[in-house]
Amino acid sequence: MAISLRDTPIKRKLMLVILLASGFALFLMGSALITYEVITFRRSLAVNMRVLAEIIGSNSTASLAFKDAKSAREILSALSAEHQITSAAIYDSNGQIFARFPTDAPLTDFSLTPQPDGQRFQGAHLEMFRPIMLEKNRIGTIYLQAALAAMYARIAVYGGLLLIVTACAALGAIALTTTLQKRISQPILELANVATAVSEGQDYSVRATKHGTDEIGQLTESFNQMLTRIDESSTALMASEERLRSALEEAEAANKAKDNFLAILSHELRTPLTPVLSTVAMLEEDSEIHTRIPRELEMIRRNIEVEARLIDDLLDVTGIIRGKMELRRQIVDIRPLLEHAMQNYCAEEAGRKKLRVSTEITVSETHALVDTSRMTQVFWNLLQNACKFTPPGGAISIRVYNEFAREIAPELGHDGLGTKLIVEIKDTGIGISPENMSRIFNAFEQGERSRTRVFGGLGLGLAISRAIIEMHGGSVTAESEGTDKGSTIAIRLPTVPTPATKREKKQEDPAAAKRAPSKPRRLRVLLVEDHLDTANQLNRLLSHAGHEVTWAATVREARELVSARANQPGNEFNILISDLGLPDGSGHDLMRDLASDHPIPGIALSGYGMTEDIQNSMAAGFSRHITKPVDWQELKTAIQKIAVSET
Amino acid sequence: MDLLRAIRIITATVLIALLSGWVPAVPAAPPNEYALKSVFLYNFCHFIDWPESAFSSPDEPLIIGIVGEDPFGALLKEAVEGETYHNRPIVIEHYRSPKDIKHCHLLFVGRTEASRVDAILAAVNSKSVVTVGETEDFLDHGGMIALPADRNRVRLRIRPAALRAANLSVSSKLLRVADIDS
Repeated sequence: MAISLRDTPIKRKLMLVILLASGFALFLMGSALITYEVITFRRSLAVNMRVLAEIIGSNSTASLAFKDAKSAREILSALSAEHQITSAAIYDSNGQIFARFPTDAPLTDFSLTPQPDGQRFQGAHLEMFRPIMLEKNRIGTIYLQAALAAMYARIAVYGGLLLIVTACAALGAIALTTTLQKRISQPILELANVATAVSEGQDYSVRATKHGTDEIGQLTESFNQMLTRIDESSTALMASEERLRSALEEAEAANKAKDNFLAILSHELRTPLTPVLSTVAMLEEDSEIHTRIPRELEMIRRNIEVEARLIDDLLDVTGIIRGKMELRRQIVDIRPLLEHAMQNYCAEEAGRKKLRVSTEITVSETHALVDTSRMTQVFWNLLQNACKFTPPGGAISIRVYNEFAREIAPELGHDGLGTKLIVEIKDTGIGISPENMSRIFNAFEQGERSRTRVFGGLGLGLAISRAIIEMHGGSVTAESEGTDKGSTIAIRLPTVPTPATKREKKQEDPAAAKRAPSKPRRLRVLLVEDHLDTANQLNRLLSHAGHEVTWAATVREARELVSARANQPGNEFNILISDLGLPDGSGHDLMRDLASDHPIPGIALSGYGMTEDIQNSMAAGFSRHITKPVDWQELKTAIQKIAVSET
Repeated sequence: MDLLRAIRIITATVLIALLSGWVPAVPAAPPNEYALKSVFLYNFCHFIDWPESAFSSPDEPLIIGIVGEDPFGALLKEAVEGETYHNRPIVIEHYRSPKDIKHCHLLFVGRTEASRVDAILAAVNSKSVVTVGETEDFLDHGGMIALPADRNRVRLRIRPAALRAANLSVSSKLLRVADIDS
């Protein structure tokens, strides 16, 4: 009831209120009237009866005194004019009925002797006994009986009237509601319609019409003011949103420009390194020069490698930022990776700085699903940092251990799921102050600025490492008790169960690798490179390795050479090694052209080393994409692989 | 209840039988004629108003005179005993003959006095005395009220003119129950 009333339209509510109010008022009014009527009727009836009894009693005194029943009957018969009186009797002083009315009424209708004086309501009758006095003597009793039917008839009439009035009031209420509805519910409905239009159409320019200054009028005004305010603020919001969007676009464009700049920069920085590196490689292979200036050659190669590494880091950071770093994950034993990294990147510098390096490996689960080169990069970074920031005579301790799921979360069980491999690298270096702790993983941050100058580097190592480990589903944490108190960097990686076949393969692999370089093939190489120094250097290295090298500087030249050789059977090129950025086209175009007419395997050389660039080279038909500066060993292996697959 | 009522009825019957055995048999005339007439006489006092001049002093009693033989015995005395008319006590006087009639307010002329009616009425003429007779012709002689016995009942006949002439006012109620003789 309450719920249905709450949900009924205001029009109905108004009608109901008016009907209820008027009905209630009428009911009260009618009840009061009827009650009043009953009371007055009874009172007047009683008074009337008393008067009648008085008159009849008084008139019948002589009849009683002189025992004249006939006259008494005559007196009583006058009551026939009083419709309310249904019967009457006069008792004599002995208490016997002296006369009765109506005269033909049976005696049994009357009390044989008078009852005590007074009035009594008995059922539908009012009875009255009153003494008849003559002077001071009671000479008889008058009895009157009145029917209340008249009263009930009157109440019925009142009830009927009340019903009619109620019906009229209801009709009036309905009529009133229709008029009132225009005054009250109409503005509310209009307001509701406007509100709906606003919320559905998001149009804040509409306004509700005000009909007066009552509460609804005030509500309408407030509503309109609210709309105005919303309109203003939404306009402002839209404007600021627009500004933000354009700012964001600008920022994105700037960021893209920066990334592009970084890519171009690293390419341009790498290009000059290639000939230097290949020259060093060649010089190192020359035993005479190598014995004469071994330290200088080593220094040159190491610095160029460091330079290349820095440029690679820059590229990595750009890739991480743009979300373009891709992982080639496979199940690998982490321990050899770490050991290899320690030997190659740490042992040398540690020896020079007289650092004590200790390892503690207590581990059973060592396999993880990782990108081998990226993992190596992480270890290299961290070990480099440890060596770099630890003063001579310090110590570096490396701890490798497992954290089992049942120790962390027993519900995960014993199947190796959730087991973690932890590599902890602890040094006695410069440490990390608490205020720098939060910043060390940010790119281009290296603790305090003053240290950057002392230790060099771009400060990208930790940021890249963390990004790589997190991509592997692991985490990197740093701990330090403060400045100059050393620091501990810990890597946590989820492990995978050790594959059963892994061990056998491992033993095969090195054997295969040893066999391959033992049979170097003499190949006819077409080298396409517009950078003269690089071309000369590569030419020298390739020739030194026993290959026959033909050099072309442009796409057109290369095409002509290929078609010319195609006509000399037994003299076709076995392999194409091509730069991508050429004066009259790109290496990709060249590769695609050759693929249709004279297909030969190709290796792309490029300063651009992004995933996208590598994919483009593969799509064009190249077997390998080698990023400049060219690592001679890498190029040599690639050539050998192609030569093996060719035969 | 029923048993009680039965016992009562039996007791009443026995009592009545005993009483009737003691009282001698009643002659043809109604035994209550004079009892009724005595009450009537007393009741006239309530429906007739005497002028103040009819009383010599404020505390003078209302005198009912009986001329000749008194047929009431103790009945009338009992009827008026302790009763008053406008705070005046009611007394009864007896007059042997018309010449004995003294100052009175209501004079009852018995059946035995039929031959002397005129003399009696003359004695009270022009005085405010209500004359009550027993015979039908009492009114013809100039009487005011007659109470002739008619079989089992006593009739009441009134001559209002005679009452008015004697400066007496009679209640309409009395006239209503009486036979009016004009």
